[in-house]
Amino acid sequence: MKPVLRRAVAVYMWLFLTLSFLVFSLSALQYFLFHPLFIGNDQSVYLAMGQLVLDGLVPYRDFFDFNAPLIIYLSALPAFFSRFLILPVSLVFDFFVYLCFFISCSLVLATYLQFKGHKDSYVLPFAIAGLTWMQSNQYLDLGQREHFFFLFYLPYLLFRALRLSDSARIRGGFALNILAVVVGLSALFVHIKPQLLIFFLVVELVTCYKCGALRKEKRKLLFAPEFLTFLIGSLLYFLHFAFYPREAVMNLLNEAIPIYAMGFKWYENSTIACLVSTNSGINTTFLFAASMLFAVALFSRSALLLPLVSFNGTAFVMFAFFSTNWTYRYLPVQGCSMVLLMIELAILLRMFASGGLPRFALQFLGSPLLFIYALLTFYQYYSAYAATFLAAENVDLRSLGCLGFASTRELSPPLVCILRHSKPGDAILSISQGVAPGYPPVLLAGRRPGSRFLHGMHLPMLDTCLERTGDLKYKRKLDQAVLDYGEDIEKFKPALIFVQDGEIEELLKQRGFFEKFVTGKGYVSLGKLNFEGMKVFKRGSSGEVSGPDEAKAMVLEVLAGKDLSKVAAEHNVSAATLKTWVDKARSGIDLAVGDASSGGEISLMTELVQTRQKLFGKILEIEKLKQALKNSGKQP
Amino acid sequence: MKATDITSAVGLKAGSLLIGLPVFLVFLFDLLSSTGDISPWPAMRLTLFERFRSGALPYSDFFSFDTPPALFLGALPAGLHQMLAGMGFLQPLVLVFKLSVFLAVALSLVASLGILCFALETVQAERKRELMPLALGFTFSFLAANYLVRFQFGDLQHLFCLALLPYLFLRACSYMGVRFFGPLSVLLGFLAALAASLDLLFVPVFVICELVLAAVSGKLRFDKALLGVGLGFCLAVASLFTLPEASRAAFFEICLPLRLAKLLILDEILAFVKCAPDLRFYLILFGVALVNGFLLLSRSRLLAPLLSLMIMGLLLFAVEAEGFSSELVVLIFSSAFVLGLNVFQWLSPFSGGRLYLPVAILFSCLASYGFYTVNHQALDQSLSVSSELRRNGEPDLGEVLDQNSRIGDNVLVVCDFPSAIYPALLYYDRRQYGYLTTSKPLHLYRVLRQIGPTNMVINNACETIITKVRRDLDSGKIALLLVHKSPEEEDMRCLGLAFYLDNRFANSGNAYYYSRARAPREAIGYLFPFHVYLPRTQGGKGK
Repeated sequence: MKPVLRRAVAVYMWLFLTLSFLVFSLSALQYFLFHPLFIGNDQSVYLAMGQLVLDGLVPYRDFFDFNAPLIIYLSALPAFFSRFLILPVSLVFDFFVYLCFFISCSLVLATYLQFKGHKDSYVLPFAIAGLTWMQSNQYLDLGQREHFFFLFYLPYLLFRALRLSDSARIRGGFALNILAVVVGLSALFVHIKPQLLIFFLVVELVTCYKCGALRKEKRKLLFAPEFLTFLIGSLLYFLHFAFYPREAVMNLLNEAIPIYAMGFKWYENSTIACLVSTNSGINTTFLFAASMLFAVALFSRSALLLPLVSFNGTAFVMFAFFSTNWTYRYLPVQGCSMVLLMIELAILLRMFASGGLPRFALQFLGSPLLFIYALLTFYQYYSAYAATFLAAENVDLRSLGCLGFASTRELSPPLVCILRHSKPGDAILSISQGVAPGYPPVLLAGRRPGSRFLHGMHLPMLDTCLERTGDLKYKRKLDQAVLDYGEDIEKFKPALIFVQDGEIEELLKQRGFFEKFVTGKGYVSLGKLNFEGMKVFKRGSSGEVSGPDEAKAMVLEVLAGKDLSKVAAEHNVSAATLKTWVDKARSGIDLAVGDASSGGEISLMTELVQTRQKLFGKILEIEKLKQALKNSGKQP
Repeated sequence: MKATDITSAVGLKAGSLLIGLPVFLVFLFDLLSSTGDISPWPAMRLTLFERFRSGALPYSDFFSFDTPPALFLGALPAGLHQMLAGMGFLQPLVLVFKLSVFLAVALSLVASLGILCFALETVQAERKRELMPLALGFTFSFLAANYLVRFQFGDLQHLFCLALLPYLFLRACSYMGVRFFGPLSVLLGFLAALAASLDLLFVPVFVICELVLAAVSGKLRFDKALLGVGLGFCLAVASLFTLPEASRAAFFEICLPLRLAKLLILDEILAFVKCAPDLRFYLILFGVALVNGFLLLSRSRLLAPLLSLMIMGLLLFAVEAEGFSSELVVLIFSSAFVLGLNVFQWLSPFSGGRLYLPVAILFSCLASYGFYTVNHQALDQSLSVSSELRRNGEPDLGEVLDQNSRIGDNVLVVCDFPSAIYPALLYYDRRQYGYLTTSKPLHLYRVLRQIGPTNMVINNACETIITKVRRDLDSGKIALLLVHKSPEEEDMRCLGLAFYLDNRFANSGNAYYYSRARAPREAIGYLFPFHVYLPRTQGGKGK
């Protein structure tokens, strides 16, 4: 083909591919535009911590958490921007994450352009496709620590793998070295969690070994600019802890990390549940298997397969080790599997469609068809979201101090309770075994945390440590934690206190938390609201809440024929929650009167047997009474 | 032995066997000194085959998820048992079964090692360098893999691995241009196909391994082994048609629909960490072996089908969604095997040296000692569970069987997992009466109904099972009824069988299954008690 024609074809193809990429990305982003209050629990609590850091508070001294501070610093950025943009902080955060995604894709694209002559560089546009696929699957886990890690580590991995397999580039040009420094800096996101360093070490070792960089004569490859940047950056990151107050560092090293390491077992799930308990888990397990199978079959076709396989294998090992079925912990496996599959697709296309008619068809027809598919996907999601948005009742977000509208379904019951019973600037205290249900409602409502502990995860963890070791120091720490809560209640005077029932309530009760700091100390009980099993206490007088009686009344109104959305709106509860209650009530009625083998005649027969037994018991009692009367000489 | 001797065929075999000797000795010692229980699943199959032999119709008179070839598998130890009895060597069936499995292990080892050594004599120098470390490390890796799965000895996944391994080596060497003795190829292909037909899910595993081998070699090679494969699958299908009409109908209408409905359905109870075995160590072993194997894949393409077997082993575990170790055997076996081979691949640059063989044997000794120590610690830990649980003084299941029934009596143990039932019933010589071999179909039906509406096929299948169970409970032939508290007793009540628990039988206390829970980390959930029910007509008074 003539060079001019070849160039024209390339431009044609790249134009459609770029447009497809943008449309696919927007397809996923639009979800958050229609759901501006949607944000994951963990992400919301780190945003809240980011806000606290902007207010001058010091992590681990002024507020407590188990994680390394990098995620808090990162979350401070969207928290900062949201102070100037009159948008919900959750939406600003979503934009921020998408910005990070575009930066990641740009770095991969820049790597592709720099290594264009390399025999394996042709797969990098497909790696971007894999990244886009991964990104479009992130909703609840958008902006999780593992998400940021994957977005920023992947460009480094790809760059490094290509660099090490092409030793002629070691000197490189100015642009290459600048790119090397940038990807080296992006690799610093392994420090988001300490265990993520293992990924770096394994992939680096495997890649260096494979490319011979461990041999004496090729050792220069090891200390290329990207690696040196990472080393220096890591050193600076560790050194920055020297600027922390001693108390903060001691809390992190002596409290947070040991409690987490020992007490994390409380959150563990069984091995099989980790793999298949959620649809996301099942999909990721199958994606992992498929990507690895293809990698085995195509192992000799690309130098990029080995580093990605070692990343994926390490990610799987880490996931198995921690043994929780939290989807974000499986995210590196999901992301890497998707990228691997797209790269393997690239390899297969090169094997079977590298020339002649297949290549022509791919370039001329494939790229515009992909664009059309992207448009159709965009439209399909758009119409679904728009229809739902228009059908539901919406709330003006000015009540939250922002611009825009959101469906009432996004106002969770805890959020409604906070809005009803507190005012902007109030502090809210939530003590639960997870980040939810306190967060994200406290963040979205624009309220302050009511304690140095933004959640109560340390309580069951301390209890687990005590159970496992029998060491009384954990009992003392638990007692102290409750006293700390009391101290914070005194200091921050939270307008509302949420206490989760079950283990949390039990731990607090055993230490006299309610008697010492809540009841009779200016707080009244609002009752047990029917969300997540929380007890709510309000500072000052009580008010209307959705207690069990009110919930029953709502369900009966709907069963009597009133419109569900109207009833939900009248009582200011989520229509989805009310629908769940109504469905459960209907199922109970169906079961009672149905002919199923668990209901109907058999259940009536069971009732009959039970009634007969009760009757028999009563007869025995009467006989005993008769005997007693006879013995006392009186007539029955 | 001189270093150069290792490179000769005899030297290789001798070297390989010598390196594998420490593991073999640990294996033998463990077998002779342990309690000797066989895995519950093979015990169940032995029992079911006995019922089949005495006239019961499979699938119609007793429930089973197994395919017909798996059911007929019991014929081999049963036949051997009869033959030995005829020769005057009367031995317990369980011992004969174990000997049969050991024979299968030995045959698999000999066949695979023989194939490797034969290939080494035939191939060019470059391929020799590829195959030599694998041949040297083969016996150690193979025996180590078998040792790690010894609590599931003779289970379907174990037998599948034993039959598939020589076949994969044969095909991989065939792709390298090695020509094998025709009848041997046919035989190995035949056995591999039969092993794949032991479970429906093994067939895609077999096909994927074959496809990966072809993809790695860049071509599809047809040889006599594939003829054997075809014959094996034909025989497997034919075995279905040897069954009576009623059995075939029950297989297609009851057992097969439930088998397929079971896949990827995770019972929410299993989400809790104590409700299913903690098998993370094996997943970590898998991850390490996968990365290591991929790193060394360029040194030997023979690893490719083994890596694909590992990955398919993970999918088998995930798809079954039960969480038992018996579903992880393919993964454990292949991961340990690959990791063992990798160690010898790493050591291969030193294979020309004088110290290679002594160092390899030393490594084997240390590894074997490590296996023995770790596994016995875990075993002691799991057996010590019984002392913690005896706090209420409640009896073991075996004691209850002994005190409340006689030898030869019919009992019904309603339990989702077979460990409590088999081989206890074998050892106490009681018979599991009626249609339920385990109560899995009842629990499955309840779980499916909780998830969503069930289709007509499932409803009909389960209503048929419930009718058969009602008939069994009405028969008056059950001397003792043991019902696991959770979720099985709830299953019975929700599916309309509460009447029998409340009226036909009387609750006379609890029992725990602890004395035979020997597999490390295989604690069955929170070890809920079994409720002991005696027939009211036999004077069961209840508690």
